[in-house]
Amino acid sequence: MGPLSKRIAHGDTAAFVEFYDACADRLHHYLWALLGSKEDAEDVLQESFLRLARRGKRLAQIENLTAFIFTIARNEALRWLRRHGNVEHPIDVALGSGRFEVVCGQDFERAEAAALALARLSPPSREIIELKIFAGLTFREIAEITGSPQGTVASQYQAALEKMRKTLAKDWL
Amino acid sequence: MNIDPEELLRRLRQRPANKELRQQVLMAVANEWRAARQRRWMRRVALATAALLVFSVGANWWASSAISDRLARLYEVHNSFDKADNAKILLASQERGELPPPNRAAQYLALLQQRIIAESAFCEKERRHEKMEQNPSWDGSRSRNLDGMHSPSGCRPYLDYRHTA
Repeated sequence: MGPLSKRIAHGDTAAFVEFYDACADRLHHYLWALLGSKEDAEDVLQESFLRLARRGKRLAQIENLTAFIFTIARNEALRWLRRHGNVEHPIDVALGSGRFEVVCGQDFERAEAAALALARLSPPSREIIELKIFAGLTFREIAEITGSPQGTVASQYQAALEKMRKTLAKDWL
Repeated sequence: MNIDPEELLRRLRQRPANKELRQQVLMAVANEWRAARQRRWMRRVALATAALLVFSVGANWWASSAISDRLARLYEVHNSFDKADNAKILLASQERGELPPPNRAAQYLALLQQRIIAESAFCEKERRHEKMEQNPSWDGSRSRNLDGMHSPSGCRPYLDYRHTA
């Protein structure tokens, strides 16, 4: 992404559009999971891209633009939550929230069970699962975004998967 | 029963963001970049104006000090010459037992004043026409004789010149 960040730093609109199309959906989904509201996620997403654009020529120094925009978005979301107060979201709105699409032919019950097991995780573990599986980021990028050591991120991920496995096994038995 | 939560989660399809949101974000970023370019341009204009102002103040000071130096030099030389020459004339007259020549000092003083006026007029060329209109008989470049004295038909050798407002 090195050349893309340099192009965006010099005001290349086509490069910015290319970058937006590459990560906007994943970023929107992540913000929706953090904030619990589609509209709030849209507002924070727009503000995050504006903050990125305002950096101007300093963007050329950024090596990993995707990790950078996720970091900006995370900080913006936390700022938004502090302003509006942390809202607890009920855990039984996993598929009903609209974050996921139900695909024809898919085992709906299993899909919903997985989404519910995800919702039952603690917020830090849920965040790591969201970034690893749905955003498609590496452990190194997740460590950069969350500010945690890479080893901690990896072990938290494995622990979260293990917890989900036990929850699903208990629900299906 | 082998449950793989990772596999189950990967089968979930994320709902994409709105197309309207894409247009909104791209337009906002384009506006932001346009505003940033404008701010950079205004900053350059402001810096250039400030530099020009500093330069003009400096040039004005330099020009003023050059004129002041010139007038000071003119006044100083004639003043000392006038005093020394006048002293010699008076001494010579006393030694010979003669009366001092009439109005010699006054004549030199008048010459000095006219030369200062001529220098000022020279420095303010764009205002020459005003001085000539006020005193048409006075012409700093033509009415002066070889000995430096104005002809009787020309400007009177005392100060009747008035500066314009």
